[in-house]
Amino acid sequence: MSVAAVIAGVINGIFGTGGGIVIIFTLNYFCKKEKNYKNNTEIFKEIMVMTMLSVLPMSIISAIIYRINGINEFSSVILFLPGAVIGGLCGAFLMYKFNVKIIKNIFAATVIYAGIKMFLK
Amino acid sequence: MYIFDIIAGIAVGILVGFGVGGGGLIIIYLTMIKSAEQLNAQSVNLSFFIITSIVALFFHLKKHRINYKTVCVISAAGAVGSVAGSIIVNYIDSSLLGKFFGVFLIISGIIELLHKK
Repeated sequence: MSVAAVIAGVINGIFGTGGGIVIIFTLNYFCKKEKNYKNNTEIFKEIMVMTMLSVLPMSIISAIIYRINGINEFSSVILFLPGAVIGGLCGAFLMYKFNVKIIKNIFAATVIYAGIKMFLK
Repeated sequence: MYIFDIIAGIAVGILVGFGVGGGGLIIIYLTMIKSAEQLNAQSVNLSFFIITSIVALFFHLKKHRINYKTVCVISAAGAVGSVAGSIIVNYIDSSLLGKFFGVFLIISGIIELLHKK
């Protein structure tokens, strides 16, 4: 588990994102090994929350080191701020209203944007 | 045109609030549409995630009881990795980093699609 977390941290440091994916999978894997594992969305949500909470310090450290190395933030970060707050609030609420299906759709969209990025190369 | 940025920010914020992750979206938006440097975009993304997750966690943590001990272990190990990763990234050439990022997105997209839950 710790090894996976270190890897997640490295990925988060290099790419600025993505550590969460490693953590989610690792947590899921370990949860399945527990004897009282119930295959339901409640556990999934707990994994999501734990992931978010774990990635937060990783991101903070990465952000600090980036700043130390002189990497400047794009000026429109100010414009993203309301989005960050509003989105965070909405997302937190909506997570309990919507079900696995929506999350799956979002996952599918993830693949699509991944493909777009490839075309850009 | 600023309205686009705000809308994009809200959309990605919602995804991050879900816990699904939308970090890549911000970086793509910034590098493709706003022609930002890869590292700058990543820096914005980190800040964005920090804010969004703090807000979202405020609600999530009230609703769920989670294993804080595990979180501490993961955070500590991850912090070490973050330091390493954040330092290494400076030695990677910017265009190469962009390509790596593209590959990384594809891999993570496929993994997420194949994940059954």
